[in-house]
Amino acid sequence: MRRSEFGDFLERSLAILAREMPRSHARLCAAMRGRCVAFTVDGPPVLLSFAEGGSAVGPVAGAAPEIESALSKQTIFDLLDAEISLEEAVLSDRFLLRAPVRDLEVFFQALQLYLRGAVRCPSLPDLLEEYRRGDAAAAAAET
Amino acid sequence: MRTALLRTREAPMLSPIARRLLYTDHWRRTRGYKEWQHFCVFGERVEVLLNLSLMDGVQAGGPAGREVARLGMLVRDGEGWTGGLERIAPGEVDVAGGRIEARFGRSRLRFENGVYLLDVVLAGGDLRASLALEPRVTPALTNPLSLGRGGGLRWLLVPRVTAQGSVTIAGRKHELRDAPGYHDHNWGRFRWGADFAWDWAIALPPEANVPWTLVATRITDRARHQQFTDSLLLWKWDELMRGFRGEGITSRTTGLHRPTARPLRIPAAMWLAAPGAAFDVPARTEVRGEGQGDVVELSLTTLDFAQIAIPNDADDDGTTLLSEIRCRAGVDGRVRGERVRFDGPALLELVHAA
Repeated sequence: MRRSEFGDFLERSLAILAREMPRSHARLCAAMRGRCVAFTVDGPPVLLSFAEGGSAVGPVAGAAPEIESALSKQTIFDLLDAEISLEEAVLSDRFLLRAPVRDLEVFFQALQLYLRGAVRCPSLPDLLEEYRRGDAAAAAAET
Repeated sequence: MRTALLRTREAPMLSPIARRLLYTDHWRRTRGYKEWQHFCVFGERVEVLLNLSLMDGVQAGGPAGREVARLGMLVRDGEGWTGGLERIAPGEVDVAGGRIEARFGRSRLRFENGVYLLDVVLAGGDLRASLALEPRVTPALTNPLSLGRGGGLRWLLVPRVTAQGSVTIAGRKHELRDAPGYHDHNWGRFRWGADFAWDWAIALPPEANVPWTLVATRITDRARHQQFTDSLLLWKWDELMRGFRGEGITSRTTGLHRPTARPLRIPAAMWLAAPGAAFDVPARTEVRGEGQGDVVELSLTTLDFAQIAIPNDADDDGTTLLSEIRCRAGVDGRVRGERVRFDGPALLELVHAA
């Protein structure tokens, strides 16, 4: 089965976070423990779930995520390149989010933990470049 | 040994300023150091900041002691600010301790015949600079400056250079002829985000026949309540003429500069880690040094700014912002009975952690 390009990126970025910024990864997992997020990024949705032992990325397959999000790969890179702010992306519906308010609040706290950890990971720029070029898609398609 | 032999051979041919630089401005590359070479040029139509840095990783949990090389460039012309901060792969970095020489990917720094030579390419070739910077003043090397608990920094400054060359921004080429500029070199052991903040400014006259150069520095704790270092240094021609320190200095800021659009920040992705639309950039900054019958007043009017963002390594969440603020400077005073007066370009750098 073809894996999602974004799912592959997300899984590998979380593995890098766990390895290179373990405190940030642990705080992210603690904040989101027991919650699931569905991401739809230019393809089938992927599910990011948090449990006692950490996080897992997989297909949605009948799960009922507390938080649903949808955005394009282009929006991800527009955010990274500061072409658009996170607030602007949400308010313009380029980053769609649907969840109870309490879960949304936790999600944004977790997103900040992820981003602030990610910018400290020496290996993440290379993964981002791979994802930007689309190399991750080719690698994902082969698995 | 090789370095010493080379120095002995090179030194007799050089000016006193260049000889002194050869012995003081070389890369240290000591383990655990943060170290960078910094250059600014104030052209009529373009201003450029270049930074070649080597930072040992000190983040707990990351690969131990991994040295990260970065090349940063900020440029301001009639179209506004542009710039980039690129991490250079370890195999693409060639920096020899003991020499003023470096290769950062396709970019190079050399020091030949007493002149800094910089050839820099960034952003896939969209940003280029080819510069020759000739030092005009005797360099000053500070004692270690305290940067919070246990942290310290050495600072070698060459506050006035004359620049020739060109800067190209996305095809727009700006020629530089006898443009005033500045160089410094910093190295030390400290953590970004530790209990310190620094404000630093260089003011230069655009005319080569005006002898004055002025540098203001203030290092404080992070809350900016306790001062570690406060200095206002005045050079006449190539010599340091007057230094005001500590209680002889008063400074104040007024107003807040409010940009009409989100300013340039490098790397851009740091907007996600440190969002917000409030900027700790004053509209006007005044520094006054006074003592023993001498007085020098520096006033800086903010024009615009760009930022360099560095994740704190003293914590897992915060960011240190280096605001590089383009200013118009006015300098007035009297030192040893001589009137000191000039207007010119200035750069104010505010380093504040959040």
